[in-house]
Amino acid sequence: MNMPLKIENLKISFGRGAVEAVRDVSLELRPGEILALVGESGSGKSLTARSVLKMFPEGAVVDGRISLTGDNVLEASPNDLERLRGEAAAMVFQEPSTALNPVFTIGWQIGEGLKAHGMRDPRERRARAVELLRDVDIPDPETRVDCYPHQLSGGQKQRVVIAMALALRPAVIIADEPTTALDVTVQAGILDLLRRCRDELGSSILIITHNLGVVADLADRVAVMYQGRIVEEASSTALFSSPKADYTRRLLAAVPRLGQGTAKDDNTSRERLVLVADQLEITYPSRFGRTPVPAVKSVSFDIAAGEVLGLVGESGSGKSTIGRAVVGLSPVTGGAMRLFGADLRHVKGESLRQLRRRVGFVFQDPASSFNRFMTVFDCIGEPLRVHRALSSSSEFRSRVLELLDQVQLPREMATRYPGELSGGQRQRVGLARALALNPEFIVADEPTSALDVSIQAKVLELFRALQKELGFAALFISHDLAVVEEIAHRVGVLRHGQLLELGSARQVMSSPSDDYTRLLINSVPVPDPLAQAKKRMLAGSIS
Amino acid sequence: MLSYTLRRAGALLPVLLVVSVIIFSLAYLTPGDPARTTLGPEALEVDVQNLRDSMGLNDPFWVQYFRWILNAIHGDLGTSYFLNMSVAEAIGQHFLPTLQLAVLTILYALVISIPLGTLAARWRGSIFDRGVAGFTLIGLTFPSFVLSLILVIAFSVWLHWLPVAGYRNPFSDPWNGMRYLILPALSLGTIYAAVITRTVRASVLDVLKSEYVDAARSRGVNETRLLFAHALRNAGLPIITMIGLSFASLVSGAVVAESIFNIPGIGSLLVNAIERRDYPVLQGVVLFLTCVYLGLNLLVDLLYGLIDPRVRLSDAGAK
Repeated sequence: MNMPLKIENLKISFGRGAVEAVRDVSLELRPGEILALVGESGSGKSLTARSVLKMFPEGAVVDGRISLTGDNVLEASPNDLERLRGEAAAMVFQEPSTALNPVFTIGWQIGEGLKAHGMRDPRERRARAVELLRDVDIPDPETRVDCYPHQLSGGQKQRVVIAMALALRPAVIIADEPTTALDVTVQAGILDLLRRCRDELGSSILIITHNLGVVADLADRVAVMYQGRIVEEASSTALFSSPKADYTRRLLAAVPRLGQGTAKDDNTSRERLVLVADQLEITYPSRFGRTPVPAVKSVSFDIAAGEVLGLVGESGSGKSTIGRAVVGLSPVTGGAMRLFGADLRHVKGESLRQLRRRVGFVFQDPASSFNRFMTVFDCIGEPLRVHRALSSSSEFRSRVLELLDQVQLPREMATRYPGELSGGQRQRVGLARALALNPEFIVADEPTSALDVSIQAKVLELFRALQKELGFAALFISHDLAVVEEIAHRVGVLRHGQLLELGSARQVMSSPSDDYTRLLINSVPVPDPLAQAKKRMLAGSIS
Repeated sequence: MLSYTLRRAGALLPVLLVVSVIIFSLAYLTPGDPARTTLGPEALEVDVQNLRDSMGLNDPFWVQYFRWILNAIHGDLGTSYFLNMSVAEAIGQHFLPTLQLAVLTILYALVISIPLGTLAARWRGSIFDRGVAGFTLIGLTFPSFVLSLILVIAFSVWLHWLPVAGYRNPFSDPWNGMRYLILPALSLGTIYAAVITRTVRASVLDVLKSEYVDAARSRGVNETRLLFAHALRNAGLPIITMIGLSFASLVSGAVVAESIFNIPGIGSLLVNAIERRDYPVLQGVVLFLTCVYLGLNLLVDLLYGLIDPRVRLSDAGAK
């Protein structure tokens, strides 16, 4: 049988062999097959995928053989390469907003690929672009073809990227984390679209992902990569039911799953309330002459001492805006937000400082929330310094070291710089910084969404242990239902700035009362191929 | 696009207002009495006072300012104390050579810098790139007056190809007009060519790293087209900013070149006005240059809108 794609003994290294990113990888993609390449960041999965089109980062040394529809990619001439790219294999990128050029219309960009492969007539190109947009379910393609990328939603942009990949009906589609940047409800649609590409066009798909739910939903076969090697390759049902490699087992165990009975009942006493939002409204000032649209409208909730409230919602739901309002980073424009009994709209100056002292904040992206010219010691100690919390420098030092112990980082880390740490370590530092002043309340804004699953699991465990030990209350913001279920006592579901549902974690997760919550829960792909297939069938028969 | 244009233009009015007040008060506060200067040290105090009255110099500050600005809006910038003509007329005469020189200079700089910068980014780290880096370093550090002298010696004194200095209007005498402008443009333009080359290289390099370039490459678009059709337009914003700034500084700052090559441009008009305390000319020229500067800024803003749809369509509510 003639394989559309065959990778043999691929080795990729950097710095004259100092860093071996891909070590001896061999893979086969069969006609009409969806193969998932799974692994954590740095495992070499994206490099492997990009090598199919010979798109290497600078300084890569490559060895091995890649045969794409019979042609040897690594030895192809530039002309052959340009022909193979798009025609034999095409790529779908992770972040649709960066994969599209912002200054050209989407029609023009689709046309560029067609033009490169010999379609000379502009009218023909345009007609084909409209047709492709229709194929990927873009509404009103005749008009949308002249849109610029920023005029489309994230999901639509990803559909456009897929349309471009489909333009020349390539034998192989390489999808590099195609749904990572998208909301769960949008993700389901994109996965369906990819499945249709295979079913209707017969394309083979190599999908790169770290999300095992996506794998279970889509893939026929799975290859697991770890530190540049393929540690396991099996059919998707076999892999999930009886993983062989150690690493695969650990990976599967680390995936947070919905409805595993971990959801908590709400039994905290509501005598002392830490945070009260009453008909909260947050409107960002808009440009002159335009009616401002509120980012958050009439949201009411409260958080009792020692309680963790999870706020769930998709992008644009206003969940981060609420979190930022607690520490005064976004303006409360209506209703009231009372922190330790003080109305945030009226607190200013010294009393605001005193309030802030009692609140810790953990940011989403540990890579960008530290000053990279400050050592870990200074980063953690900064809140202590700013609030002049400790008088002697020996006390200061011992407090920082104690915090490092608390977040389970070795004390030697204190002298390092944030850039020298891994993502998980950095987020531990972020947690330590938030805890520095012994806050009674912590706002955690997507603290684990930038981390790999196995690292996420550890950070979440740490967060839970610390919360139990130190007893702080928390507002935990996340788009990931499974994560919130694990952490929170109560859960609130936000959409378009409105709170749709609020209840104990168990109640919201197992018997949601709102349709949107149900849709949200159902959209999360289950990391189990059989269960996911059943769920899909069920959803299909309903719609 | 229309509302964008109006908004950008409207934003310039306060700037113009503040600048005009500053210009006026600078001249108002500068020591030295124009009436006394006009009449000379031998004049009688009575005559000086009379002249001050008739020139309106004894009126309060704001009265003088409003009289001046209202007239300026009508195109009347007053009469020069020394040139025997209206300020507007003087600016008209002197601006043309400067503008011609500036346009030629910027054209020269662009013809050099855009291909050099783009290709240097394309072949980053190559010998070509290093050569370009060397050229920009020399261009940036070499004083333009030294360069002009070298050029004059080479092309005029030895080779007799081009005139040493002077000015002919290229509109009435195209051949000679151009011959007179070439050396000043080369000596002035090299530094701008160097600056713009660096900007082009840096911003093209930035764009080439972005994923949409990779994405286009993955669809089989060839490298040349990637570079010139896809990347250059994205790299355009910083480049246009740089060009706008360069052009504006050329219009107002060609003084040195104008005096070396003896070109009767706006720079020499300004320098003479300062030396002679010719306040109406001084104020008029600075106000005029401010307008040119703001106009160029507006043009750059509009070009932004043309290049980047996100700027143009941001308030169209097309989401």
